Amino acid sequence: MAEVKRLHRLETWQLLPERYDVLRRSLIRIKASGPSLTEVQLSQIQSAIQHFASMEKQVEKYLAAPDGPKPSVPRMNGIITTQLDTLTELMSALRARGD
Amino acid sequence: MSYEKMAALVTRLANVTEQRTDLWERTSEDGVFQASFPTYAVRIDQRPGDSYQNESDIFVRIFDDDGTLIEEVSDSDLSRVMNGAYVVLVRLYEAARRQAMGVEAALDSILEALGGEGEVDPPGAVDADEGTDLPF
Repeated sequence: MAEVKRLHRLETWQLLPERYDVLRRSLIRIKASGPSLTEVQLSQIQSAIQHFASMEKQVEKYLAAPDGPKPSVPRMNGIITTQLDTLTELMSALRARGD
Repeated sequence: MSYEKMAALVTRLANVTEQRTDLWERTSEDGVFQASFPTYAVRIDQRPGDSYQNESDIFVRIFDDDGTLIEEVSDSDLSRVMNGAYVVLVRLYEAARRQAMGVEAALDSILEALGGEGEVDPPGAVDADEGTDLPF
């Protein structure tokens, strides 16, 4: 996620859709492999999946029509920072529980 | 499409939004707010629709577990099965926006910082001593 934030700052839009997709698939795998996740934890992971899916669509749309609205780097990085904090906390809780 | 079920979902979302403070969050798109559940996510936004000229419609979208859009309805769609759909959705959108932006938390914090200074009675408030005919 830190790498994606860096790519946003560099505005290397062409590289980003693939990175969002990798992140999204990793999160889907974590969700599928964690049967003991609580409803809140599942919702937190689903939130991150949805953010990355939407960012991918937003960037693809911009790449297809560069004259259209440019994605906002501060806004996107703000969302990723929040997701990173939430998921770091979630993973720490899972590790502490021995999952 | 089952507009009845979507109307039920919107009503339930409006009720839960009133009860919770952490349901809605900001997104990377301006004016779009998201609520997440274990397997699905819901987004609400306001954009030009086709119901009335120069007026925005409120849209509710449902996404599946890998982030694919599976359903979208607007207030004009819901008005076929729901009385006052526009008002319900405008209220839901506004509540989602305030929650996602942390408006209530900001107001609470500022009010606490200001303390009781300059406090005025809300309109219609009556002193404990007023409104009684008792002579003491």
